[in-house]
Amino acid sequence: MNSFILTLVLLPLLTFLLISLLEHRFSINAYGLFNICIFIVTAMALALLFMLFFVQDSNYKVEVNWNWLTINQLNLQFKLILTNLSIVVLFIVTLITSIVQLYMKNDHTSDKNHHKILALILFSTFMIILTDNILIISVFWFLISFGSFFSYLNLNRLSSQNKDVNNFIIPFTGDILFLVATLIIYSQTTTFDLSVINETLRSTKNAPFAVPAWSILIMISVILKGAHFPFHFWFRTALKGRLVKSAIIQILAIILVPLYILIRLYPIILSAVLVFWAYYIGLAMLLYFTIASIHKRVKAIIQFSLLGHSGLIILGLSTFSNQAIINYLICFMLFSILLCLLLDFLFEHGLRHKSQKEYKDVTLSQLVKNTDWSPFLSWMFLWLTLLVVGIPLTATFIAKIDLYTSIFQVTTNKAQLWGPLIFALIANILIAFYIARVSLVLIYPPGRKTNTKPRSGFGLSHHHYLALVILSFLGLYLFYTYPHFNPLASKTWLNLLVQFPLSKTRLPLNTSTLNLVYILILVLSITGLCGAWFVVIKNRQFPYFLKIRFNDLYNLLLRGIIPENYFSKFIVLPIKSVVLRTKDLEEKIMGGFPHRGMEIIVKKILYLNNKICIRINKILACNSRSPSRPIQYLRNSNLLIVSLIYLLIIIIGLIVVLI
Amino acid sequence: MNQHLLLINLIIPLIGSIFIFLIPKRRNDLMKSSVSTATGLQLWIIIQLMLNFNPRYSGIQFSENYSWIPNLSINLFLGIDGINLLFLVITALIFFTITLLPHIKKLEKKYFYILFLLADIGLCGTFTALDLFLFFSFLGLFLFSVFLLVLFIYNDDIRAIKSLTIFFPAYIVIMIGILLIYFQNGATSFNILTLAQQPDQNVTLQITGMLLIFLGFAPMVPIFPFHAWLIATFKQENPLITTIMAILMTKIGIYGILRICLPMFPQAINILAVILATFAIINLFYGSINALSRRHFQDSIPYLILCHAGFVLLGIAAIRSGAAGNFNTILMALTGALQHSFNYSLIFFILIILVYYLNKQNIDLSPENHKISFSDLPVLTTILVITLLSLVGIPGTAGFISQLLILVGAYNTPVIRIFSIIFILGILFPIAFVLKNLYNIFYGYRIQASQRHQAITSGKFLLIIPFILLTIILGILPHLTLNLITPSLTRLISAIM
Repeated sequence: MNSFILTLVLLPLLTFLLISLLEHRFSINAYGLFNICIFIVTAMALALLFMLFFVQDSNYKVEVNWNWLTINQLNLQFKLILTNLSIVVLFIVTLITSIVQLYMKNDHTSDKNHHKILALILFSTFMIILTDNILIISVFWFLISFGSFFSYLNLNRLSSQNKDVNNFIIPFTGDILFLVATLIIYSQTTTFDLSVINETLRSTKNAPFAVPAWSILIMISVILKGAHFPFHFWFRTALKGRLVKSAIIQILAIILVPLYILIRLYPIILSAVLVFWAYYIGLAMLLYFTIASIHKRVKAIIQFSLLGHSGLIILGLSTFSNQAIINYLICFMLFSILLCLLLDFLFEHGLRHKSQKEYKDVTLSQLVKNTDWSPFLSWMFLWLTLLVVGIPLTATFIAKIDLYTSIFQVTTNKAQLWGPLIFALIANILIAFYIARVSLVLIYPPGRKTNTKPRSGFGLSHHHYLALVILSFLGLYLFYTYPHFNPLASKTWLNLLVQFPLSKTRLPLNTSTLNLVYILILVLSITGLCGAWFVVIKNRQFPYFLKIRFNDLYNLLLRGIIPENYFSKFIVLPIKSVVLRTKDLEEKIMGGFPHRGMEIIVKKILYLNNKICIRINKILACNSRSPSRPIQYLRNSNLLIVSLIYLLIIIIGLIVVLI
Repeated sequence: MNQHLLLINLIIPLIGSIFIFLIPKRRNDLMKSSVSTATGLQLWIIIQLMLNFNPRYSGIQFSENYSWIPNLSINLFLGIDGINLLFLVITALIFFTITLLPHIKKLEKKYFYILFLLADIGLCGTFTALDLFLFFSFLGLFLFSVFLLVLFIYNDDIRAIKSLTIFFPAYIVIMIGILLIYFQNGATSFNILTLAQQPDQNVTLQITGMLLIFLGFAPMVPIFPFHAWLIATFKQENPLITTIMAILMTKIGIYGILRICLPMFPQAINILAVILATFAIINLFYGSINALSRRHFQDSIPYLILCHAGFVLLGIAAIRSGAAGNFNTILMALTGALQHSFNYSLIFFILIILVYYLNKQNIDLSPENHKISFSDLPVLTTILVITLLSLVGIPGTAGFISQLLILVGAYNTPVIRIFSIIFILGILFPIAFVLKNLYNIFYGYRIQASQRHQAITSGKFLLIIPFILLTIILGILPHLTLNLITPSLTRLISAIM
């Protein structure tokens, strides 16, 4: 078994060396195929291992020790530990990598460096996931920075005069700070072994004075290397180039690895620092999701949504529910790769003839211009939305419930964590909003007139869409919550969650909290989805709606006038304005100003308000009218791969339910 | 036979130089081959020494002691331990490789070869001499022959020659320091081992002696204000002098501090360690910021050397923990310093040779006139990338373990800790330098096909392969050298404490 682990870790390294040494011997396709085989074999082996040993006994553990160097006290040893946590993360990493490699198998014709860099990053990631030595983590994290940098250079070789390269100094600064933290930890505990450090901290009553120092340093290094606010701009640099190629490497390097390292180091970080961090990351996360909701560039949307989700995971961690976030991390990896694959498909088929510069800053409306949707693609996006929002029967739903209940549970004990909880709840609306907005803008382009026959979906109009979303949510919610609808519900959620091997050390839950969480998540998700539907589909009404509200406010505050018919003024008119789009409503409200000068000012303000509203509408709904051009359908192989991911997310959900 | 290997090591180049002196002027090929033979034999002897070296024994091995001037108790005392073995290895390796480089033919002068071999004798003598007077004489031989070599090759560059004159005052300062040591100990012995066993207890005198010797070796290390010679040397295109000066001269500086300053002035170095650490930080920041700001890759190499000398100085400064300090911490830092001085010689030798080849192919590594590209010169760029990565201590390369040892050792030393934190933050600049150059490599324009084949198929290019292999092997199996170093350093440190 021990040699098996070593082989597993060394497989990507072997790939890296083979491709580097035999560069000119074989064709690039052969290397691509070799790479794919290696990844798939690794993933299969891990899955088998998991089934054979870890499902039976969740405390099963395999250790490999290799003493590298001993100089008196300094003892450097490669101690690799395979636990159920590490095996699941390893499996997901290899799986998404092999999926992406399969998806791109025809596109590697001129790029063997990609295989090399991917193998290097994967090797480093494996080492970080398996090792128990903080120095090894620090060293391989450093190597990952280089891999990420090489990937950037490789993908952007053609574009000279690229000044963004300077941004890569940020992750390296993070590496150095982490190294300082490692040295501080070593000087206090005289060991690099994480488990020993943990025990030392637990056994001593007075924690060493350096704990705050290393906690803050680790925190800053994660902010730098995970591209969190205010250093988020270097993620944009890293994502340049072909979307899928950069995404797979950078998602591993910038999102997954920092998160995993945090999960490992969480016990040695001071709790006060974590609480502070929960607030910081919570606010930053809201910022990311807001930007993802209003941005028009596709890559920026991907960047900020990834950062936002990673922020949510860190928030979960900061509120001391580190076990709960693993589920969400896995789902997040799957659906973010799925989003990247789908968007990459649109990029490649819609914008192939575009120049490099245009390719870099593609906006949603540009994608819309070049898209004539196949029903299949529409459904893909629709289901992607539901997956990210997390409908029942999918893994995301379980993960989300898991995460939110843990945060709730902790909040009842620690009053200072109410803030992060509220951030997380707001984030739930924003997640639903941003993903629904992207899908809706792509499926129902705003330029298209609503009265024409809809061409997307299986003849579905947007009203059907909304009804479908809400009904599926409600129906499945009922199915899951009430025992007489669902035979599985005889087992309570509590039991199901505890049985999942990753959730062993969960806090005890009560049913009322769970129900509260269900309802909150449901309401918030539907709010977000409806908001997106409202903004994108009903986009024309949006400025008028805001304008009327503004006028009412003006009348109330400045003129002291309460509308004669309060009900009609505040409730009926806005709804009418939305539904009927009556432009003359404006005149109704404006009637009867007492003073000429005041009227001019008000009209000016109204004019400004109108402009702002139209601007907001343009941004949010990507409002641009242009004829659409037909594109090819998804190729069969891509179709298979995308379907595979959907299946996976659903299967994971089912496994959790059925275990 | 094994007992006299060190003496034979010195005699072989001497015989070689006499032989060359007797050869007629027109027989250039014979001269060239005899130089190669002499240095090759030397390398073979050093390998023999390494194979027969007992790594568990901490004392002096292969010692040879002959009385030279009995009235002044000066002996011809040679010997090696873990400290100087690595320096000998790198010297022999570099001297042998230089003779195989193609440019030597162009010089085609008898004096040149003789001076080259004399420099070799001087350097090997300096590293093996265990008598202060002998050490001083060999150092003089080396400095003088290198100076003449510079005069001989760069006779039109006054600036380079001027900058080298700094070694003569340094030489005199070292002499005064040595005389101070000699007379303080009752003028009975120049034997380094004897002197180290009974250091003078007078702190003021120790500090004076330490400052004198340290100032003498400062230009050789090199330490910040005394580094002008290094930059002037790198302005030249010929890698011969550059290599000898830059790499081997720095070895003398570090060896001098380790061999003379540490054992003979233990209390002084305990007090002055803070100054060493300050110089280390200045070296790192000044060197790396300058390297970063140079347009041409060639110009930045001397600054990088300066920056890595900073690493070694920080390692030596960890001796500050002194009598009350932690033995293991000091050992770690010193082991790292010694190992690093060996490692970066390997790395810089590769870099210098690469730059030489690039110059020869008219390939310039500056951003505007940049003509090297990853896809066109895969071998060359791969080597360049490996070398650049080992400069910042990527795991798997030799730089990693030595830098780590230095940083861990320095961090665990109470007063030096704050210096080490500043130092670690300063490592960002070398990283930035490496990133900048990787960027240049990957964004290169394409070179012409004819040039491509020339650069790759040049057989001499293979000469640096052993150095690269060594860099990688020592990165993966660092105990190969660490096992040689550690016992001797343990003895040294226990003597100080």
